[in-house]
Amino acid sequence: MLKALLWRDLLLTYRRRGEWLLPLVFLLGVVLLFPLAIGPGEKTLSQVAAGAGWIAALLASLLAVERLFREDYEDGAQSLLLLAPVSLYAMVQVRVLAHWLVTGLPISVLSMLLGVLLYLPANAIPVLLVAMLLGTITFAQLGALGAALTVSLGRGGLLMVFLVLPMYVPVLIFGVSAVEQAAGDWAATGPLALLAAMASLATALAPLATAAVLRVVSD
Amino acid sequence: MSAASFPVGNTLVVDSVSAIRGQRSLFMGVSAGVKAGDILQLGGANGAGKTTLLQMMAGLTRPHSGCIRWNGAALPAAQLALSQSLAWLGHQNGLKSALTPLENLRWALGVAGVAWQEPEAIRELVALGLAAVLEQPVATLSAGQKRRVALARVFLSQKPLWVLDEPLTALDQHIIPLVEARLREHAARGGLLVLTAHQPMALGEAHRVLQLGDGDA
Repeated sequence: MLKALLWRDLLLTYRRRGEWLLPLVFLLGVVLLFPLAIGPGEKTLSQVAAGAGWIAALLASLLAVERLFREDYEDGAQSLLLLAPVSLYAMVQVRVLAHWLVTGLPISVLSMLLGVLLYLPANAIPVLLVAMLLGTITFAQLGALGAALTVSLGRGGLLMVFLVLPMYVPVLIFGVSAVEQAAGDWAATGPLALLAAMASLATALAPLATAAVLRVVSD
Repeated sequence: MSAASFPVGNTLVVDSVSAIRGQRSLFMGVSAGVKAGDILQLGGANGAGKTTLLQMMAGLTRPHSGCIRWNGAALPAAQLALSQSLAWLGHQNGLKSALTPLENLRWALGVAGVAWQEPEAIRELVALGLAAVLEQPVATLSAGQKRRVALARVFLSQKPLWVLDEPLTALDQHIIPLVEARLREHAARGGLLVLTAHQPMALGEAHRVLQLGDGDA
């Protein structure tokens, strides 16, 4: 049952590649505009690289997650999911997993490339990848909760940004500090461990709230 | 279609259920029961609460008071058991517009826990007159064609309890007798059927109508 849901979400992404590409192009655009705005010098760019990459990844994640539940809610597929003989918690996990595979994962991989473009020191690149992989999991889980809360509002985007942004801030802080520590030849295990803890906690608990919200919204 | 019958012991009971929408009471203390082989049609004017009662019987909406029982166990505790036996058709079809009819059946039946049998699905879609659009995205189908795809999902579901909100909406006149025959066949096999409909339907002897809105039914 869960496999059918995963298959559906991945197939839908494939059918609507334009929609899928938007957050990635957005990420690319933001990072490529940085050298134009603040100058192409290697020293300046490498100083802001971690922060720029993370802000762009955060906004791209937010842009991607906003419509996660909207379409199912509008076309009635939500009722079919609510009435499936599987726990809604598991279904939310699958939907967020599918979402992360097509957004968080490519964003993380792309961010390595962007790190190179912004002169991030080579030894910080693997740390950036790991931090991004962990951070985008938290982004996806918390974003899904925000998307569920605003699913019944036709234009819930603005409200959702206000709901979710504060929850994204800790990931941003520790994500940037992991990369900067690695760039300064310090061990980045501390912030990475915190990012991992946040990802685990969000993955375990956020779907409980998301599932409860989806049930109430459709009532 | 397999001709296997369903267990005879299935019952869906509505026990003095009330619904409130906003400040207004839709219906008060409605009771009804459906057992294997029964067809229950909910009647009443627009706004009488037919859809609301249907959603309550599927477990999508909680009653304000009273309760719904599936095989003797009350919702929401019995939701999983009910969901395992339920095929739902709302006034929305629940189809993904970017997918073809076959792909839609595949995910929706898969999520409902029904094993995927492509030849069966194709046969059902062809029987419902959709042979020409099997490979087209649902977005390009007409309203009636979309309704047929949604009905095909119910017909292929192998579930004993069908809860259908206006199953005939947007359908051509000539396809309606086929759908009615399928519904009668379902009841004859020991299935339970609850539906709303605006037009009179030829559903045979097991067909009862519960009027909402004119006093307590």
